[in-house]
Amino acid sequence: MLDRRLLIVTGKGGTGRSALAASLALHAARLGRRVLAVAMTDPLGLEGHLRTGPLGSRPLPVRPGLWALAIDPAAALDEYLRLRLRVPRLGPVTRAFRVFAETVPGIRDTVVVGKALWEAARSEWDLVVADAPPTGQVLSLLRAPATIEGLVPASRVRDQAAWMRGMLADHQATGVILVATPEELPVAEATETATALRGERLAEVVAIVANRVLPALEVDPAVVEREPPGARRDAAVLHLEVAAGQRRMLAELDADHSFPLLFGMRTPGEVASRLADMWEPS
Amino acid sequence: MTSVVAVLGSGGVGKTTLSAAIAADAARNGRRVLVLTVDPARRLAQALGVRLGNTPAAVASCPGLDAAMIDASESWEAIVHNHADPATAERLVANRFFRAVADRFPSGQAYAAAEEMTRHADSGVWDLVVVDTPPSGGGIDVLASPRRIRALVGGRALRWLTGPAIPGRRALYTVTARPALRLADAVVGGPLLEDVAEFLLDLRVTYDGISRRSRHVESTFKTAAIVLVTTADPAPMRETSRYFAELPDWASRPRAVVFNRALPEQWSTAGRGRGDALERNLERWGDEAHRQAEARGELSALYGVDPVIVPWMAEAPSTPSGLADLAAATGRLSAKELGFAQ
Repeated sequence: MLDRRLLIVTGKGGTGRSALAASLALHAARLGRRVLAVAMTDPLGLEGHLRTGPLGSRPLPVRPGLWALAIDPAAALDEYLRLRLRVPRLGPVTRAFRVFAETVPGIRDTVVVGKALWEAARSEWDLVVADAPPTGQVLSLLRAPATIEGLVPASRVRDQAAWMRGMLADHQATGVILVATPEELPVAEATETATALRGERLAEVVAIVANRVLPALEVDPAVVEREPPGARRDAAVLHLEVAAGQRRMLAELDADHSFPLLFGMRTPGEVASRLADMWEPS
Repeated sequence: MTSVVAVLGSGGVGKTTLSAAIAADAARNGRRVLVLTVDPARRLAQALGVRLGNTPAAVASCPGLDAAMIDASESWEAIVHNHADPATAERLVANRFFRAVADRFPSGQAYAAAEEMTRHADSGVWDLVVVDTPPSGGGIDVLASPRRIRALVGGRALRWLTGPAIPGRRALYTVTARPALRLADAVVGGPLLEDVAEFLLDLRVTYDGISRRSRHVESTFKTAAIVLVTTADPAPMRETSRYFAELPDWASRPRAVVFNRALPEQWSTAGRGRGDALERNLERWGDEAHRQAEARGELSALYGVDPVIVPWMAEAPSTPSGLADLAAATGRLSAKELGFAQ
């Protein structure tokens, strides 16, 4: 998995995808890779979990071997126009593009995906880990290059879009990691997203990750039955009930990795750091 | 006069269940209630009647309660059809850019929910309309959605193209815009941006309608009772802080802040005696209870909030009466306690 150039982490809102993206970036950096963590839309998750200050559009050193940036659509559009389309800076054409990119989300999405892909193609990084928007929005984001390719006649814009679509779909280069907590809607969204990604050949799903899985109680349910009423018994009953519901959902999810619920974690930084130790060495 | 309850909070905190619980409790207390839900889990959909659709339908075994689901995929088409003449609406929906705009403007879904809410509140059929909010923009974004949609439809691109005046559909672009578009199209390799411009000009037709309507939606939000839902997790806590920090003129102070998935506070100091497996289990849940108490303390200290506690349940209620019990058990989520007179 870590031999890809770009790993895109997504999942339903509230499943901990930023925490897992941050932990994966930390893990890869600890293995000696040069890693860039990228916030594709909302930077708050990565900022908290990597304990950085506000992230900008330039890579910020975070730990040995780890940098982070937040994609700023306006800056990414500038870069796209100057470097990819070779449009002269600040001309009326730039203005026309900028105004339309604000309005037509397909253009904006293409530029955001493009920024993650351009970074992944650079030799500075061994691996780019992208903290993507939630599953509800990620498909239209990943479809954007193909959409633009279909809308635009032969041109530099279309060549760029075709390159993006190709790199996303290239199994050697790009992988998607889907995060779900063992609950009904997160599992359903992860499963649907995996099906769509495969069906449309948008990108390879390299891992499905179950997050906040309860560790085993290691007590015979009969012992819990005999326990007199009180907090000891209540906590055990809640644990058993939640775990039973989770087991049903885990059976549907078929996850490749499983991360435990971390009890009593105070800060996002603490969570990501603990999770980073739990990725299997690869 | 219909009262409105808007339930806000970030993804996965239990908004949908709590909306249904507040609605079921109000219905059980004799009010005529509509709950507008967005993406209910199977259990909840069953509790409200499996045939949940766009049109409000009575919930079996709960007299006074109607439920409807907001279908976001159709919402943009509905907005366009509501605010443009039939010919323009058809042309817009058929436009190749329409899908791209509809799929990728998250506030569109939130706004569609808000318009539905307002329409049902205006109908006068119900005493109370409880609205659940979409996952994208579940926080303050939903309240900002009327403003955002005005910005999209009457935005910078259009003003730049057309100047401040509203042109006829076939009006030519202003002198400044046109040559730049031509140049840009030379880069793209075809009349892409000119096509986009055509599309935006069509969309401009809907502006007056959307502008008027969205201001009405805003005023409905202003008088609505806001119920903010959170858990101790970082993302929902951040969203809650953002709500209070950015509390602008178009949002009101929440009538209730619900702290969901709460553990008994006494667990945080319980036990620490026998060292057996049950004790170790209580200790780790106790750590979590302790963290939750800190998070609640933070809410009180920063924003003067006394959160409504909803306990951590392994499964959501599967019947309307179970949902009503959930709201009633808090003692603070009835229509009366949310500030609506009988």
